[in-house]
Amino acid sequence: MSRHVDDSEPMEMVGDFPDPAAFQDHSGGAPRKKKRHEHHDHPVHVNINSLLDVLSVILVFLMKSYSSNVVQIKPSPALQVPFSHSTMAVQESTAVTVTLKDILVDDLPVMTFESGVVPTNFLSSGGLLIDPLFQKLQDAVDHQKKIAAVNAKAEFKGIVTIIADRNVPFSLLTEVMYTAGQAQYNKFKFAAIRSER
Amino acid sequence: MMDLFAVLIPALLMMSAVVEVTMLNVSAPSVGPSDATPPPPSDKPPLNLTINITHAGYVVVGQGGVLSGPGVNPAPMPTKGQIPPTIPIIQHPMSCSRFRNTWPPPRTQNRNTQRCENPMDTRTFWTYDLHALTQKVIDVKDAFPDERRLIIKADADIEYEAVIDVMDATRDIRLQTGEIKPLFDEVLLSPADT
Repeated sequence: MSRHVDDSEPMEMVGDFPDPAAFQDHSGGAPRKKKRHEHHDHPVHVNINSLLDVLSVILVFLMKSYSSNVVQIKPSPALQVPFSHSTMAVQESTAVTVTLKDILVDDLPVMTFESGVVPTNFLSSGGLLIDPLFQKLQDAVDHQKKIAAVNAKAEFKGIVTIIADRNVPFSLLTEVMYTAGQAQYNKFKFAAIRSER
Repeated sequence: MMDLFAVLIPALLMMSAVVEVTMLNVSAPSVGPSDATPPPPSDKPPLNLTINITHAGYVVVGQGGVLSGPGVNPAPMPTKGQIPPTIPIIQHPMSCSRFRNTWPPPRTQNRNTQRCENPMDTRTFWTYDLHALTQKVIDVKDAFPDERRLIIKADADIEYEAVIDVMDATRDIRLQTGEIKPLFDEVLLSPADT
């Protein structure tokens, strides 16, 4: 912190340095306090233009990074996604999330497990097809095909991204894949958290 | 304006994931209509390299036969179907950073031990020998340089994480020059043996 030196008085020099005596308070403590007090009496105008600029940049950056994440993983005790050192970029697709409690399609719950397994009344085709999931995926396919009919850029690509908890058993994984395959999804992608090799 | 920023920035920070997400390509044979054209017929018989993940290790099969393994580090329990694993599980020190509040796969082998709690710990667990698997796959790739297809099978209760680990260990390797050499990057997931 620098001390204020009155510009009106020329500073005495000792060699190349100012005379230390020039820094002494000639006017005593009380008047200085009074002067500082006078400053507070005036209205203080704070210019926040720079702060607003910074916040605007941060906001735009965050909104852009949020919108570019086409696959959202919301870790929870029931969804611990495994790690992988794959470097493949994330693609926009229908997301099937398999947690330890339930199955979701595009973040909307489809069915809940009973004692950690798919209830038998939800299974068909020899126990490989999960009926509620099949219905929901078919609805998603129909919806995407309707959009593709009016917008050529939004063609149905048949890609499904599976976001699964790392403890999900292989049998459930194959049931989900079989069900998605029956609902015309023929390109599968597994989502993982990127880690170093 | 400041109030708007004060609300929007924390909300976006909470919503945006701090983890980087990646993808792994998988195919599922005969589980739905596919418009993929079949490969042209070849004089060479297909390798059909298959890795079967069991609780005792990896059984590596190619061209109709089980490939030989190093024959060391015997597994603590016999393999389902009486086929000894090509690459048995081993006891290996593991960092707990990836396995907080759980165990490394195969969890059925480690469940009777204390789980990882402190991510800074390094503890010895039964684990799949991914390094040996990569070496085995490199040997196969040297013998069949044109092959890229790998079939992964698993017991019904094998964890999804173990499947991802096999895909990572067999997809590619980083050479000493820093170049990435693909190994078996076309993965087919075969339905579980029940």
